[in-house]
Amino acid sequence: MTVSQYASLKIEAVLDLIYRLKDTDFPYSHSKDALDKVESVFNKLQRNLGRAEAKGDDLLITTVCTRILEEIFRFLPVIGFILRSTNVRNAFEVHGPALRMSRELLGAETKLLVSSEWDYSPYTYRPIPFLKHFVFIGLPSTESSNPLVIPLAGHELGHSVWQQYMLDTDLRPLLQESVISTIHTNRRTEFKQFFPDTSDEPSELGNSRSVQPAIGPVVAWATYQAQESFCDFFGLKLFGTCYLHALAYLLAPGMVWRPTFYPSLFTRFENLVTAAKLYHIEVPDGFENMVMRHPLPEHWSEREKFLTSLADHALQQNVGDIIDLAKAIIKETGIQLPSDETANEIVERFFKKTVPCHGKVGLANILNAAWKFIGENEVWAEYPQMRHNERNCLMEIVLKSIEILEIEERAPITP
Amino acid sequence: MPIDIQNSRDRRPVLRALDSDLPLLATRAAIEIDAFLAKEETGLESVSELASLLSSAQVEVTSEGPESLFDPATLTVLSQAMSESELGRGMTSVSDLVEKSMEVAGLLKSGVSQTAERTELQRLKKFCIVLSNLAASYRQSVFGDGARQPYKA
Repeated sequence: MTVSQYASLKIEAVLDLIYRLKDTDFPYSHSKDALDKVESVFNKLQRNLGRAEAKGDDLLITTVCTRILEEIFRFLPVIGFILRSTNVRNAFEVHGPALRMSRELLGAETKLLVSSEWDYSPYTYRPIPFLKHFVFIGLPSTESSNPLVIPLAGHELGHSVWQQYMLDTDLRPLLQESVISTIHTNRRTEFKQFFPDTSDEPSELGNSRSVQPAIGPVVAWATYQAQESFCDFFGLKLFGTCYLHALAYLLAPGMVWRPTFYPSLFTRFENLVTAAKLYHIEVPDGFENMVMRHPLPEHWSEREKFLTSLADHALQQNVGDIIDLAKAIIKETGIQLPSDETANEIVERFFKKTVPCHGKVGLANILNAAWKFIGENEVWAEYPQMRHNERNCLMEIVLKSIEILEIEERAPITP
Repeated sequence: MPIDIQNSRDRRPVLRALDSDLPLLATRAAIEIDAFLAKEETGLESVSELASLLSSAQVEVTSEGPESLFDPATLTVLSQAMSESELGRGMTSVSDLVEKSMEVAGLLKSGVSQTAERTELQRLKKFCIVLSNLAASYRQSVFGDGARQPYKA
């Protein structure tokens, strides 16, 4: 058999899998809609292969087969995500309010998939070109029925907003300028040491073609770090203090290692505290000290450390603009923001009586109230039958509150 | 410097080597040029989309030359793709590369449907194939082992 025949059979196997999955039950239609889109991607790849095989030369056929292989690598986890979005482990109560929030931020055509994932870090799929308008939010399976981590969905929504506003276009030139100016002013000797054949003349750094391979990865890392930071600020502004609680709960004290294209968790916490002050959002006690600062890994080469430090520095030089940007975009959407007053009222009127709240109070206010209520240990003394089961009781109250919120949003109840 | 977000939703897409769909788009453009060379009626949708992205290089001509919206990763990949496909050699500055990108964009936009010169079409096809493969491999230098899953964030 030939490589192109193999490729064709692999596409058929993917399509077979999709057909079988389409026979399962879907709690909401967006999961099935996503499968339809993925199916059309592979149908088109099959046609591309057919056309290349008919007339193409070997180089073209091999290139098409390579792209097909890459797309299978990329889409198989996406298909798995779609399948798991139908799993009963998910807190389906959250889907309606989270979808409403997504549509307020991204537009009425937005479709949302929330899934329980076998990856501890919450994640999203960056807007996939062939799945326009779909937002994927994966929460770790150990926490998928825990509403207290839902604020982290704000970070994941931030990725879609970043893409929709094409914020790379705004921030990349600023970050690139920072990288170039840092090399020129402080790090010229090191730059010359690691890139001896590349010009370090200030006038050349911006415009010389030979400089681009040297600074390419650094600017890309800084831009991805900026995106992650933007998503943090976006989640913070959208959800308020509960975003900080949820992040600290899930990730503190952090790991020793970090990827180059992600700011360290220490930097993220530090920048979030700065943003919270500017947004007038309360920071939980001890938040800044929950994460340790780690040096760059010892096993990294000196060149890798140098390049990463340039990216890190570029982020820090522009973090103020990124904080402002998240705030400006949320303001432009006009979405309802949480308030301490409403969260306190929910705690006093409802949660302290161990009953769910009602009214169109908004998802973020319910979650802020939940995090405030966690500290109210004395309340449970009045309910001995719930002793040793306080956490589950709170989760039930919060999930029920979210369910009532959705019912009231869909069909307002008149008193 | 405050960033103005007005009208940002309506921005024109810019070519980025790290965009996950570029390798596939460039491959499809190569297939379309191949079909055109074989005198088949297949349409030039991907060719036109790639041309539009390439022409996003230049926003305005300043006293220092055309101002580029391309990031260094994209400039690196484009430069190599042009060199390998013999579309452009001896470019020493970003300005040269931006000008060449505009020229290639023009060739793709109108040239593919109007030019009879097979050698030029063959070069454009090769450019698309090389661009496709270089864009796919460049991810490794930025994401390391994470390069296979560009959608995850």
